[in-house]
Amino acid sequence: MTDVNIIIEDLAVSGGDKVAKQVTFKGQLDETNVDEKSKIIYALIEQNPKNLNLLLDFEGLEYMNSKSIGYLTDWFSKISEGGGKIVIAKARPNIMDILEVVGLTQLINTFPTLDEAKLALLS
Amino acid sequence: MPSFDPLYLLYGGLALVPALIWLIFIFSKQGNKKIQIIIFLLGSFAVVPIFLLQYAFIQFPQFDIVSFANQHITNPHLNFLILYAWVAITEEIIKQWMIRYLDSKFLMVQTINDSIQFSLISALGFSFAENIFYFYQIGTNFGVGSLLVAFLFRSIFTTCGHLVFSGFFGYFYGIAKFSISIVEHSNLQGKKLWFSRWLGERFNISRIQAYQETTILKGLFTAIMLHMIFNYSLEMNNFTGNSLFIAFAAVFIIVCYIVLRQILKHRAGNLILIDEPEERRTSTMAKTDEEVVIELLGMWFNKAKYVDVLHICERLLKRDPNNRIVQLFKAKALDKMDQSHPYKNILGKMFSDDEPPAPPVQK
Repeated sequence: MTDVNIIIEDLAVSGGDKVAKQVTFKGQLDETNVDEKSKIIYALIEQNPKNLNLLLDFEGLEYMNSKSIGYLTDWFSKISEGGGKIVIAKARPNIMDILEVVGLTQLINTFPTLDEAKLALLS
Repeated sequence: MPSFDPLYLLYGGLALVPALIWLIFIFSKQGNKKIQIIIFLLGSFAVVPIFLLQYAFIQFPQFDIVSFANQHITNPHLNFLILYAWVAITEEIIKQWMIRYLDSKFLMVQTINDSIQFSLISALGFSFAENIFYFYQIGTNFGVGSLLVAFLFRSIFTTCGHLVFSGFFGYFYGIAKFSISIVEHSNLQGKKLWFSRWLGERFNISRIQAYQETTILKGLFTAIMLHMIFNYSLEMNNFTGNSLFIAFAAVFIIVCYIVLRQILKHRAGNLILIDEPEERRTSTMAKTDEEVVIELLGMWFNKAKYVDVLHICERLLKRDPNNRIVQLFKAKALDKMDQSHPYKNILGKMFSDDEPPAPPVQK
């Protein structure tokens, strides 16, 4: 089984009922782990059905398989329905290439740095 | 030595009428006329081996399966079935052999629809030659009234029958010919193709080759079965005098023809699936990344997300314009979408196959 670590941290938000989290991925999301690991994000969405703002830090993410792209699309739909936002930071060129061809970069904003992503998420 | 009866020319002219009408009706706007004429002529010569076979059975009756069945089987239905199974098998094998031979020589089949179209023309040639002999027999033995009835029925239904039988074979032959792309496409959709896998292991051949062989056999079997059902219904009409059988045969052929026309409308059938060596690996996307996207296409195609599939295909084709699998996904997604779907019309215009592909994006 390929290893992937997912670390969730709170991001400070000013007032309101907004919830913001930074989710850091390290490793490879593939057939051996994607179903199991995606549950972590689904649990997060379930706990925060409204106004969830997610920053996905892909700096350490080396590979995403097709299923993980499918999950990412689903997370985007669910979070958007709840009035939240999702952004991606520091994705590697291979991941960016896939996201672009799939059309996800038209839906989810991507940023080269964490600061820019945070600014866009919390503004 | 038997002399040539000039009446054959007259009946040949008569047989040419439906052949030309069908030819115009089906192929008025498409294809290379020169190739169509060659295939038509060769298709008409396909009756020669059948006549030779019949002549051989007269010379060597001990090998005549139909006479053997007649002598040993008393049930008339079984006898008809054996007779028409034999007729269908010999005619369909010879017609399909002609197409396979021509294709192996001239590589004329580049799309599934090409395969159907060429099979139809070959069948039309065959039907034309067969009609000459039938019209001659009926005209000289039964008079003008019977000839007129035979002319109308054979021109419409029997000729259409030959078109349909061969057309279905052509469809399966096209699929078999492009089995590399089609098997890969099926794999991406999660189809296991168990039978081809089993056959491949059993006979120590690749799964693609096994798929190819079984698909050709499936086509041949379909053509033979349709041919048998049609001929058997006609014979039952003669045998029982019940005209319902002839009505069934006519409706049967019309329905088969409509199904075939629908198949010809599929965009996937018009895709050029010949793999040109110089077109390989022209993609500007890394192979592993492209594989991820193509897998996603398979997943979303199975989930009927055809609009998303279309959009991804369009973007991916800008990066890898010659990718047959992506082209197949795009065509099938368009085929799958409801014809009346307004989005399909818009996308169909946006993603028209007539447009030249966009230049590849440089990394």
